[in-house]
Parts: sequence; structure tokens; C-alpha cells
Amino acid sequence: MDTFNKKSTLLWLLTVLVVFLVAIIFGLTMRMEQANMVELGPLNFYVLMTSHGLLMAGVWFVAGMAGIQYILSRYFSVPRWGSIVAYVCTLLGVVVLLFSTFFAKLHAGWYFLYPLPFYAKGMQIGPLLFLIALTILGVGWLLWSLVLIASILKKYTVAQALAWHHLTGKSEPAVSPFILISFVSLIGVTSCILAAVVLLVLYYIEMLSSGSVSNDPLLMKNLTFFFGHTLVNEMLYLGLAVLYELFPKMAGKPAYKTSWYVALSWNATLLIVLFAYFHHLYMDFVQPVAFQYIGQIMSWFAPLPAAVVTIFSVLTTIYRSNMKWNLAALLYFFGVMFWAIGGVGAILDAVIANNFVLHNTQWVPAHFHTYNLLGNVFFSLAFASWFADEIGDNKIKPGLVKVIFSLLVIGGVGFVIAFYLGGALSVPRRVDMYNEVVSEGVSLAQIAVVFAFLYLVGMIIYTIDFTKRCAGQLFS
Amino acid sequence: MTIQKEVFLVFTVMFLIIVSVFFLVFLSSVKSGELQNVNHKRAIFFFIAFGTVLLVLGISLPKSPYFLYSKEEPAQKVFVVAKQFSFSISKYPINTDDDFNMSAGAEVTVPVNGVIEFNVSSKDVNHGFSLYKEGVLQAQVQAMPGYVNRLRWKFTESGTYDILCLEYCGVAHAAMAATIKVE
Repeated sequence: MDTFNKKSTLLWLLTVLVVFLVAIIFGLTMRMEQANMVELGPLNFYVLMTSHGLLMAGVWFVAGMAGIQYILSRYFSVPRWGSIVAYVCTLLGVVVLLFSTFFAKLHAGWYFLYPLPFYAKGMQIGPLLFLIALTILGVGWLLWSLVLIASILKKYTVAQALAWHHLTGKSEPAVSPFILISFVSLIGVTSCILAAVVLLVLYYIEMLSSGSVSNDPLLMKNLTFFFGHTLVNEMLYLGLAVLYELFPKMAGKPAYKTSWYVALSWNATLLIVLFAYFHHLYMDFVQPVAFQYIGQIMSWFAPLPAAVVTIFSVLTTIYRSNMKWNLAALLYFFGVMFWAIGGVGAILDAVIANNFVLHNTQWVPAHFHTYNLLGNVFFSLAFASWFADEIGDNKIKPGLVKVIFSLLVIGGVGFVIAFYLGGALSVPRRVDMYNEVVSEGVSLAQIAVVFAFLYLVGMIIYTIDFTKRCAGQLFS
Repeated sequence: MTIQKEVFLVFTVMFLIIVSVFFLVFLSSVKSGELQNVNHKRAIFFFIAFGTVLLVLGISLPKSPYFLYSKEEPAQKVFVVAKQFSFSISKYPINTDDDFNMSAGAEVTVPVNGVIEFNVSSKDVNHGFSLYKEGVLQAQVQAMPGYVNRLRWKFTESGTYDILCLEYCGVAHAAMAATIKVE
């Protein structure tokens, strides 16, 4: 095994796990504030909210990318510098980001909806530091994504990497689902980071013009959600690409092949996902109505290829498989289940008529925490568990598998159910306290705190075990 | 039952179906069986899912709020301007800072069962304009700087409705609220 590949992946995973623990503690503290268990004050609450959102989006994106880099390197040589630049930029970007939030008190939320950064309280330098942090992260991640795309294109043409020849029944050159999904996801990642680049440039122009230039809020909102929504979707697909590669082998089944319908579904996904973000602007009635309808249509068609191909394949792989379950397989299998459940929550919210009474209520964090906390995170933890088994000195103890898995599932499910109930009861999201109109939010937050704590304990045990089994390899 | 609770009910049913399917398959994994060609079942599953998507789109798209009461004359136009961290609501256009200050905090009364056209905008950042009746969200629209979002709504019950900001707008977002009276 390539030593660089092993050590760099290990370093990424250790970093991800540590940052994830920190970000969970931020989130838990926010729920404690909403539950009236601590007194942070609104400014500190929103500082935590901004840091929590960005760290979570960033950390699971790089976890997905690290998985892709590792598996790709088993197919062919991938340049090292993409991963190195991305790692340095990620560390530097996170330091500047936390400086902008905790020191300069920038609290504009993770998608910093224009023009809020200019109106937020806190130090004057805050918005600039925040934009610099995002620029550093964006540059590192864009380069990494381009390096991975280039390494795929060294072996395949664009048409081959998109498996178009499989659509016409040809099987050569064979393109594995892993290559296809990685390529599709990396194109999506590159597109949304480019949108973020445009967004940041427009911010910088306005900032440097000292008020003589102002941007169009509707355009900025479209750019923001094209970037934010697409990034979160694509990072899920990065995790799925690795699942396609590893999961059948865990079940002792032949590797998944790229059939015509697998090729068709992921090509369709590539296009559909780019238009689904419109659902974030349903309540902006000045947005052209055609875009709103496209948003709902695309949001409802988006899960079809995934459901029909991925979920069906995972279920048929496990059915009467005489499976020997380990932590990685459990996390993959049930991660797909929670991804499907979160998807149901998402498409119900993506009905415009429902969104009219669910938008910006707790239904939103309910569904995205379901497919992130219990879906995407499970995919990356599954990869990390498989990786630890590959390189670690010892296997995880069976008793520990039960403890970790139970804590993550019970903690995660209880935590998101409190959010779903909040959505059903019209409780708003992103508030530091609940007024008398929506006072049910307090009891729901108290319930959520208990379950979030269980999830945190599960993650602490997971991280300690992973570190004990693997960290020594960094220095070997 | 509110729309929110209906959605929650549908979600719960789907949740239970998905969990049951995964658990049944999980339980089956202790056995071993021959590999089967499942493409036929996959095709059936696809067409059922495809049909369901078309059905939902066909039923739900026409219920979108963009053309609510568009063929009726509004009984009352109401102008709403949001600004960190208050709403200014008036039956007259709010164009200047003076207009804003005069109407900030004042309660407007509108007729029950008449179409009300809310013209909603913002003077600074994005806000959310939402109407709550006894803690239940009835309708909402965004308040965006530089644009006017028009929401038509008919109040079918008299009483006092709460207005909350539903788009995160800064440090006192949670306290940004107002009321409107319906008679």
C-alpha cells in the first residue's frame, strides 16, 4: 500500500473526527441554550451557530473527498499535491474562520445570506476575515477537486468517465460505479465551488467599493443556495461512491457493475441536482414561478435514480447474504436507511404548498440532520472503520461495536425526532430562545439535549477506539 | 388537522415502512440464498415510484401559494417593511424612514374573510414575514431588500395573529415580532 496515501487518509480522518467532536459540542451547547439550561446570550449563540454549520459542512465534505482520494489511488496514481494543498488550506481556513467568529464575533450563519454579513454586529474586521476564511477553503477544495477530475481524465475520456458507452450496451472500457459516481460528484462539487467563487468576488467588490456598488439580493440568494445546497448533496454522493466500491465486498458479493440503468441514473442525478436548489427560494415570490416549479419537479425526481438504483442494490445485496456484520457494514446499511428517511422529510418539504408552512421551521434541520448525522456521517464513519480494519493493528471489539452503534442510532434518532416534532408544531429554526407563541420549542430542546449527549458519547468512544487502533501508523 | 401535522403523519408512515423493510432485510441476512436477478422487481419499483412522483406533482403544484386569490380584488392592501429587528405595517405605502417609524409597532386591523394583499419588503437584510394563529404557522413570505414580495391571504377567523420573523436576520432575530388584528 502507498504509504503517503495511507498516512494522508489517516491524517484527514483523525482531523475530521476531532473537528466533528468540537462541532457536535457547539451544536449541543446551542440546544442547551434553547432549552434554558445555559445562558450564552444571543450573540454567542449565533457565533456558535455560524461555526457549527460551517464546520459540519466542511468536515464531512473533506471526509468524503479523502475517501474518494484513497479509493481512486487504488485504481491509478493520483497526484499528492491536491490533498496536501487542500489539507493546509482546510487547517488555515478553519483557524481564520474560528477567529472571525469567536474573536471578531461574526455571526451571519453558515450560508451568510447577503447582505447579512455587512449588517451583523461584532467587530468591523469580522466580515473580511470570514470571507478570507471561505476563500482559503474554496481555493484548497477547488484545486483538490480539479486534481481528482484530472487524474480520472488521464485514464478515461469525459464520455467514458460518465459511462455513456454503457448506455449503448458497450462494456469496454469498463467503468466502475465508483469512478462514475466520483466523476459525477466531482463535477457537481466543482460547479458549486465556482458559484461560491462568484459569490465571494461579488462580496469583495462591494466591500472594497466602500458602498458605491451593491449587489442584487435575489442573485446573491440564488448563488448562495446553488453553492450551499449542491455542496451538501454532492458530499453525500462522495460517500455513496465509496459505498458502491466497498459494500458488496463486505457482504461477500461480486463488485457492483455499471449497467445501463446505473449509468443513466447517475447522469440524470448530475443534471437534476444542479436545479433542485430552487426549493430554497420558494418563499421569495419575486423569483420567476417557472423556477419554483422546476425546483419542486427536480427535487421530486432527484431521489428516483438514487432510490431505484442505490437503495434497491443495497437491500438486494444484504437479502439472504449470510452477512458477517461489522461496524462498517452496519453503518453503511443503516446509513442508507436514514438517508432514505431524511430524503422523505426533504421531499415533503420540497412540495411548495407544504413549504409555505414548513419553511424555516425545525422541519428543515430535522431532515438535513437525518441524512447528514445519520446518513452521510455514517457513510464516512463506515469508510473510516473499514480503513481502520485495513491498516490498524487490531480489530474493534464486538462489544464496542454494539455500544457505539446503539449510542449513535438512539442518540441520532431521538435528536432528529425532536426537530421533526418542532416542525409539526411550527417551531422556528435558528432562534436562540422561544417566545410564548412557540414555547413548545423549549421542551423539545430539552429532549434533544439528552439524545445529542448520547450521540456525542458514541462519537467520543468511536474516536478514541479509532485513534488507539490507527494513530501509531502516522509515525511508523 | 394542520398541514404540518398531516405532513408529520405521512412522514411517520413512510418512516415506519422504510424501517420495516430495512429490518426485514437485515433479519434475512443471517440466512443464505442464491443470487437472484432482481431487474424485473427493480423495474416495477421504478414505475411505481415514477408514477407516485407524477401523481404528487400533479396534485400539489396547483396548490402553490403564488396565485392564491389572484382573480379576486383585494379587500385591503397592507404594506410591510422589515428592518433589524422590527416590522412596520401600514395600510399605506412605506417609502421613507419617517413612514417606517410612524408605522413601526402600530397594530393594523384587517377584515375577516376578505382577500388581504401583503406587500412585503425589507430595508436592510432578508427577513421572514410569517402569520401565526395560536402558535400554528398559517402563511409566510420572505422580506427581501430591493424587492417586494406579494402574498395574498384570506383570514377565515377573527382574532389577533402573531407575526414572527422566520429568516435569520441577526442577533435579535428571535425577538422580532408583531401582531395584526382581524375583525
